[in-house]
Amino acid sequence: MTDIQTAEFMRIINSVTLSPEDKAEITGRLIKNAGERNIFNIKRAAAAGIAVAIAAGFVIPYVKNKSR
Amino acid sequence: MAERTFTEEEIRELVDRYGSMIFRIAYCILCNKDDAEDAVQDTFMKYMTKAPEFTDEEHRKAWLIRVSANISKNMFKLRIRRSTLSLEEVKSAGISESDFETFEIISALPAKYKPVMTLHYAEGYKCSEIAEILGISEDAVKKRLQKGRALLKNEIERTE
Repeated sequence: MTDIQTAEFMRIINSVTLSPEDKAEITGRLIKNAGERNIFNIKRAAAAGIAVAIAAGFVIPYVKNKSR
Repeated sequence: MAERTFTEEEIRELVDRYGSMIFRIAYCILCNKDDAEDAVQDTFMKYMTKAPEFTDEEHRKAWLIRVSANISKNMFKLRIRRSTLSLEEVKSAGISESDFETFEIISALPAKYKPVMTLHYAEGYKCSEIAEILGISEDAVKKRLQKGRALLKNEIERTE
């Protein structure tokens, strides 16, 4: 191959890419599959739950205080 | 092997960082967007279920390349290869309309040459590194590069 043909080959091969939409779709399918195979981390869900509980711990006394 | 779990962020980061590279390797072998996307997904699923330990980022990248090339080659053997590509198909993979004919020539190369050529020309790996990643000898890599280049040159000259 001449240098020009090599450059052409490199340019074309490098133009093959996943669009953001395709990436999002693949990510979604992987998360779904990971959930089905129990390899999805539940720590995140637990962390969200703790955050809600902490927030509730502040909000409930505040509301109670206000209503007095 | 110890069970490992992945967060949504880890999965997203993995696809963001390596998705296009794996897709490029798979697409060059399979010449079909849907099949290449399946190969990307299968590669990541294998990564997540096997959860191997890596010494560094390059080790992880090399593992993903080897697995994706093997998955794509197996898919290629199992599925009937399309004899022609459509313009819409290559455009959806990011290739411009003007490059359609050249990509048709690239896609017509035998499957054994394409991973070596993609890794060398698109990912910038040296022959010794490709040999290690694909588990073949350095001489075999050099021969495949030489033969792949010659086939491509002949085809390009023939169509000009």
